[in-house]
Amino acid sequence: MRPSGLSAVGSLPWGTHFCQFYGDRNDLADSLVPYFKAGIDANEKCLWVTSAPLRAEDAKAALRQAVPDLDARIQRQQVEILDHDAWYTKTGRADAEATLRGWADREQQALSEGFAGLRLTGNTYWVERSDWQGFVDYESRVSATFAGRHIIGLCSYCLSRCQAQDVLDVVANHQFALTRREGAWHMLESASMATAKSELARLNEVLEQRVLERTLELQRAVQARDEFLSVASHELRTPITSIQLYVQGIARAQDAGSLSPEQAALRLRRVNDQCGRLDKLVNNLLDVSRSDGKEPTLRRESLDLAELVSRTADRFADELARARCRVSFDAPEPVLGSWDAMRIEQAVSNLLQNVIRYAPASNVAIEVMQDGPDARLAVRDDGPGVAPADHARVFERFAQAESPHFKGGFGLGLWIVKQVAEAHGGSVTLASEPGAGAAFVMRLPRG
Amino acid sequence: MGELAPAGASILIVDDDEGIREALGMALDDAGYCSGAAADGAEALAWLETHPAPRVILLDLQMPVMDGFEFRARQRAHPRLAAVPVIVFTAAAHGTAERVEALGSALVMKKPFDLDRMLSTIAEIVAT
Repeated sequence: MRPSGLSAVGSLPWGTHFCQFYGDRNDLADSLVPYFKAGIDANEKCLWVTSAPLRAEDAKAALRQAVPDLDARIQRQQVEILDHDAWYTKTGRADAEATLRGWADREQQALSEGFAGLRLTGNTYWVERSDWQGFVDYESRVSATFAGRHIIGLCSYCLSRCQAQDVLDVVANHQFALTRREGAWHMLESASMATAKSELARLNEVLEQRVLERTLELQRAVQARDEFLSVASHELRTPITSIQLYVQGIARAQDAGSLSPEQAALRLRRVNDQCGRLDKLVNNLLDVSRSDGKEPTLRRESLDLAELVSRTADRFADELARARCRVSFDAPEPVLGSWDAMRIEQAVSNLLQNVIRYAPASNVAIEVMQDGPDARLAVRDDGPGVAPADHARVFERFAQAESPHFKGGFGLGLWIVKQVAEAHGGSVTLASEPGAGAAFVMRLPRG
Repeated sequence: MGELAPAGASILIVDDDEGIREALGMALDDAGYCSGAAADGAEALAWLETHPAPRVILLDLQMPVMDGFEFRARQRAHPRLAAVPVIVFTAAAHGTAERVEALGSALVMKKPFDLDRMLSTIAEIVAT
């Protein structure tokens, strides 16, 4: 953007072609002196073609007030101030085509001389009424010629010499117009310009809104990641802590000579259990990173879901008892199908872990039954329940990490249940009310 | 090795993780202490109601039902139990440093922690 020097205009991009309507020679000096001073200060080559009522000598005198070293700049050809008749003497009377080519050549010359570009003004005072239509045709092509070039052009029109129709022609062929009213310059925009600007403003708002939303999303993602890392490190440290305690305890008892073979065997078994637990945690983590955009691969085999769930529930019997949960198991008949045993067991384990963590001291009912073409597994508790607003969220990845009440765990359990169910072409749903318990129901096509 | 625990000095372990409760309990038994265990703050308060005050409480912070912070607040408000020294252990990575500081515990240990260091701290407390 280039400074225009005019407070009513502000900055302008290269390629701008605008006009002004002036009343007298004072108006002309009032706008063109700051216009050229800004160009000179910004290292632009400046070309001022004048005509009555402000002749070249008057223009020089006015500009010199603002630019004290003007003569030196004229000397080294940064600034050129000419009467329009001298301009035509110099360039010859030219048709529109040649004039337009002339502007482009001058811009190239300015650039090759090390200037930032070309700033110019022409005064139309000399234009004969009989030439008007030809002149309007010329103006209509100027904007296209300036586009993409390092040129800014300001055309000056004497208001008293323009008829109403002329003003419309002029405004239509410039990007915008300046008028002198009540002692100050005002911008007069063409309708298409105003529309374009308001559209631009609207697009900017949309863009800003989008940037805001995206930034919020990213902040949430970063926060979820940080919280997840904190939860993950807690979860991984817990089995490491007990492994270390068992091992250091074994070493101390060994040193004291008080370690019986039974004690040694028991503690090593515990270390082994904790290693298995660590392994599961790490596998859950790997599930997450592997699953990005991919369904887990299944190793299907024929199995009895009722038997598998019963076996898994047995494995959790101690933990459920410690959580003071009373468990009932209902599976009236074998439920046969083709599923990935390891995955289904993982899902069932996660549902039970979820009860232990979120509904301790509750009555837990586990049911497995055939339901048309599906197998149906339900885990119900009469614990604190889940607010309706959180029903979808509990199946999201790292859902736990965002919960204000830390309950342990990665917040991956139910997400994994959902992944496993969906990989089998099934589903998992939650029915729950706060204070009225929760029921997780997994449906699996028997395949 | 070889701190001598006063016979019968009792220690209460409060941690939601069964493995940690058991491994610590075994190590304390080996060292000659008498240990009790609770899986959360509420269980710990119930245990304390029915037992003589222990010499030391080993307290985890993040637990379901009642966490270590709330347990500690209730313990400090309890005339019979307020003076029992507490050793806090936590696996939290960050964000709770000021709250942990405010617990006024004898020692804060980060999980995983060194058993020898914990036992020697317990021995010092019990000896005073």
